[in-house]
Amino acid sequence: MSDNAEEKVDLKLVAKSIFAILIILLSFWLIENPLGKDIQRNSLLALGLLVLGGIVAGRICQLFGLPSLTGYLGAGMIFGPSAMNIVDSNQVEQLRLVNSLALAMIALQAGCEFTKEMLEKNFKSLIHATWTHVVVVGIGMTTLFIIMKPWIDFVGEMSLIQVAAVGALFATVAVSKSPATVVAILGETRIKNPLADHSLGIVVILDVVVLVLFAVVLAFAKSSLSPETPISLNALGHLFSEIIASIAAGTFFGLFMIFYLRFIDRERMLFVVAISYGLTALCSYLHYDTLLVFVVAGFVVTNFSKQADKMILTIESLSSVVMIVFFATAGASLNLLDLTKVWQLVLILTVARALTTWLAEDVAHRIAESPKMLRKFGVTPFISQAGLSIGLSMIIYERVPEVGPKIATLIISVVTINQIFGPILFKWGLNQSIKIEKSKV
Amino acid sequence: MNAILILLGMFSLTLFVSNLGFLTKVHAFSFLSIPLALGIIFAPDGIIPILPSTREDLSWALKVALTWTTFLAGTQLSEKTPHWGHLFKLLPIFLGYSLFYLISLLLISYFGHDLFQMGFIKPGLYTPEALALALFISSALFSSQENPFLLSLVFVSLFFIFTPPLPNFDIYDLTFPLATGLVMGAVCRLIISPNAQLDTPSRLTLVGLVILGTGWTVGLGSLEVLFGLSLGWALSFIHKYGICQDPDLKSSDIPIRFIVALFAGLYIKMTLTLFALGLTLAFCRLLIKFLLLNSGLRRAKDIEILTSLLPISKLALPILLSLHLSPFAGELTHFILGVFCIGYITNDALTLLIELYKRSVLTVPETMIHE
Repeated sequence: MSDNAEEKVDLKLVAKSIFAILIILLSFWLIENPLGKDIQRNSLLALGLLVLGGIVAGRICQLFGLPSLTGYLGAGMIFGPSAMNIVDSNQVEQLRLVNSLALAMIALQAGCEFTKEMLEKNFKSLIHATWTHVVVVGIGMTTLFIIMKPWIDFVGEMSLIQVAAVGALFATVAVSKSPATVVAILGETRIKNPLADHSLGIVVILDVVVLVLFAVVLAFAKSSLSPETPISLNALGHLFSEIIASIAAGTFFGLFMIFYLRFIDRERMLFVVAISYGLTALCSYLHYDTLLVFVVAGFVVTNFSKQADKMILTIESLSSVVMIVFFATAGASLNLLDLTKVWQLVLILTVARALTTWLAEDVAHRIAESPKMLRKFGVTPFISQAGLSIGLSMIIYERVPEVGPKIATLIISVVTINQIFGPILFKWGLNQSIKIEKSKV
Repeated sequence: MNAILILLGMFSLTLFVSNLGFLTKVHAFSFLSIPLALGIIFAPDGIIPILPSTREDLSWALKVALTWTTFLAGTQLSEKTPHWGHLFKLLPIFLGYSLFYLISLLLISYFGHDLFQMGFIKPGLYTPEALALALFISSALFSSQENPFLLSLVFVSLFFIFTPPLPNFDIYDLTFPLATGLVMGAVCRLIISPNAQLDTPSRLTLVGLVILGTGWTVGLGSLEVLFGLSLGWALSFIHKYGICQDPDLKSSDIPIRFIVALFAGLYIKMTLTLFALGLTLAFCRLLIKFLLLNSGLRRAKDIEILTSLLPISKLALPILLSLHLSPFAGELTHFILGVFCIGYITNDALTLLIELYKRSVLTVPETMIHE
């Protein structure tokens, strides 16, 4: 990732890269049409196209000062089912294997960046931002849903409580952010300042908070939509025990990583890949929160040993290709057709989420008396939404059959817009914050 | 996910065994025998069997590994391009090879009785299929580190082995992957400048090209190793790329070859016929090589014998495995792969014994040991 950031991109290189992609597409067409040979679509072809397309699109974005990540997403959208359909939905599904590795590495890296000093320094702003995000965005979006009841067809016949329950579900997902995007942009820009620390802290804390909140809201929504289903506190109890167990598992594996890096320290890449897949499989089997386990493990490595640099270097050397595949696959999964069907509603909800997020940040930083830079640009990291939000929408799809499919489509459409513009906004925010720091000096 | 975990576990075990102090000091031994043997043990028909689905789930990773290892071999092909000066050196080897071919033909016609019975090839010593099968196995086994060009006979034999009712190997199966490699070479030339270092963007581009080309060749139903060789050759020969000379790139070959060998073992179902044929051919190979050396037809220093002449070409195993993963896969490719792998392990074990025997009189330069 670091080399990527240092790559000098000029117009000539971008033009050559685009020409290279055109040669590939032309050869593809020549073999299939005039030569009449059928090239069977397979996951390797999809993966190769996404990697190369991602590199080229990333370069184009870099030329215009945009994050490479936007290019990766763009490549996924162009080659994916929504546009050219060279990479179809089956292949996207097959490539999800890379996502486990990507998410594990993102969380581990985020945990490694979490130092005790950083937490102490930003403690006030992190605490205040956490509750303001939950309260302002949560209540704001639920209220908006209630107000907009006449214009949302699938809640037209529902009672006020039911609409509030559905709105609360949507609002909980709206509170969630994208740790992957934040870590990727910070890795690309290599910026370390209060905004970077704040964004990293909040995305990780909110990830855990949203999971708890979601369990409560889901229970409420299920009981209000189908009265025969009583509210069960068992699920909440289970969730709490899983979170405690996740923290314990993260601590144990963090200590294990320290031991390995301190005393064995060979084949680090293989070790990181093995532990990423192994621990993800374990988390999935035991229903632990994978992100939390890896963040805690990273936190333990960075704060209780001197091995964090080794770990970060290894992750960075692995992450470049994994990130491209992760975001390009995410781009290919975005459903642009659904977005076009309900674009007015999606636009209103997206704008409302952005406004409530901005308000939450502003209130938090005013209370915490944070630096002016945070008050001004604090909202920029939190517009992006990705894997977690889509994952929650899928749970709604399955568990709340009454409105699940409709609300999932709505969430994915909002996520699509947020994921296109969020990274651009965050990079801009980081650059502006650096300018403010420089002007102070 | 389970498949990846199992592979990672086996790979770690292989690395552990290969890093044992004793083995790291020898250099005639190729190390690939260890993952090969471990693969045979863990094969679905082995002593500690894994599920066939576990193996199949990861075949896509194996295909990329095959392309990558042949791509790296391809980047070194231009250094080994034969010229007239080599002819004098190569003639005795081809003479020895002819003898080995005859022995292989006799042995295959004797041991391959089951194969004839099953109807994979037409019975008889002089049928084109039997002749081509012997050509295939003998050239793969007789190839050495100094003479990988013998492997071109492997591809020639495919035209005669794979005739109806088996899937037909035609000229497009040979030319399409080679052409794809050249196209990808041109694409690489556009994306990475020839003076570029092997940094993250160029590494990523190479990985992307290799994966894309592999998917492309697999989609065409052809052999991905041909694409890998062609891409490697195009980059190193036409463009004289700096990145191809990077030691980091070359060092990535070792773990990949381990994966290839491990998987090759996983595809083997051991039978007495395979074992006897592989063992006998490996013995004959060594005898012929020493016959050439002792008769004075081929002169070489001890260290040259141990590092170049005796070890089987590292390209042979990927080519055979690629064939077994292609649409041409069947009992025949299974037989070929099995014989080759047994031959490979036997050859490795024998060369190791020879080295141990000669070690007391050998003075090996320090640099060679580290290589």
